[in-house]
Amino acid sequence: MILLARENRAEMRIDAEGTMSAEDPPAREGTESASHLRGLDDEGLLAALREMLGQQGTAPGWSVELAKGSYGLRAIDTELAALTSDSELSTARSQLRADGGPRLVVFDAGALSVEIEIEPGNRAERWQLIGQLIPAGPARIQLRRGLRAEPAWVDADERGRFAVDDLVSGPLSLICVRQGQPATATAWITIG
Amino acid sequence: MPSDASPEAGMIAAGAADDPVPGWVQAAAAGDAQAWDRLVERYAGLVWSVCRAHRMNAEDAADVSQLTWLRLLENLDQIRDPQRLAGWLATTCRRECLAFLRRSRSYTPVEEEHMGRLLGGAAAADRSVLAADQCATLWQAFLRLSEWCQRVLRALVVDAEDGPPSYRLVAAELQVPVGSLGPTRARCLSQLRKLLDNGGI
Repeated sequence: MILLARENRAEMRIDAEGTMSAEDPPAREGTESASHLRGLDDEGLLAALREMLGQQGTAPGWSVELAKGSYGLRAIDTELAALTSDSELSTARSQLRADGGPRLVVFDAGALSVEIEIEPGNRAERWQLIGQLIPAGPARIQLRRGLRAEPAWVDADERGRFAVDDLVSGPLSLICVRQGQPATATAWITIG
Repeated sequence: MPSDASPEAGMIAAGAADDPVPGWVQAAAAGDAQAWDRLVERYAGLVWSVCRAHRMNAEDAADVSQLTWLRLLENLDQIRDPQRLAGWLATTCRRECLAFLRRSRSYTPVEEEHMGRLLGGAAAADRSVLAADQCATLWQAFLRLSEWCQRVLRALVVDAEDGPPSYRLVAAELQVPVGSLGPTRARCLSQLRKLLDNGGI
């Protein structure tokens, strides 16, 4: 399955760059909705503002605190491995997934790729993950779980393989530490 | 501009030079947690309402908004145009919403835009005035208004416990003459339209 993910990578990169890039959003997006909003009279515009700023537009205090707290998850002195492929975001792959195959996710940094497969674990609401570093080689890998759990560590073997069991749903990012190389942090994904 | 007593002279539109966001982004990228807090406070409503406009319940909105903030965190030093951060966040959040919906329900895969229309249409049928993309667009324009306009419009539209606020109450809250509210409202809405004119995002 990991090989399949690699074959798809070139095609997915386009999609992923559009999805995850830090660049500005495309200008055309929002144009249609802007012209609709501009066409409203004062009362209509106020009604739209009322909806936007009312209950729906007020983030609950706990979610604001969660967002503030996530600053502590900033990976310092690491290179970002961008999400370049995720079977759950790809049309073709999602159709395959209906057959129950694992979710395939690929992250790329300049000098390192991280490929992972995620499958339901042995317990309900738990997940297992197997991964492959490219180029292959040993590494210490830190699993970050957002603010839900303390980070855990796992080792990748000589062939760059690693496995994790019993993961709960939620955010996930890996930091790969290899001898003599800068640490690499993957983009965040959500599992579950 | 009428010479009423409102403290707003020259404050209808925020000039680019007054925009604190680029400084916050830079400081947060350099390790300043308080700057990050300011960013969160400013944009938490935008992120949250984009999630809710996709008809997410509070629990799912919490997951997606957290992922959106983590996405900003990992890209802090790569944001090229911090003045357009609202647009970046809205777009990122929308994409994470759609990804979440794809994951969590066994949707037949469809193009994102088509899906957005479907969801927007569903939300509209659901008494909602705003589709998800409109919500994001309106937030972006609103956040580019002056702080004063944002305060006035917010005070005018956000209901109190017992219904819509009266001009008298709003005027008291903002400490301005009642007579100034109508003209201020008109100027702020006109400014908002202009900002919507400037390409939406």
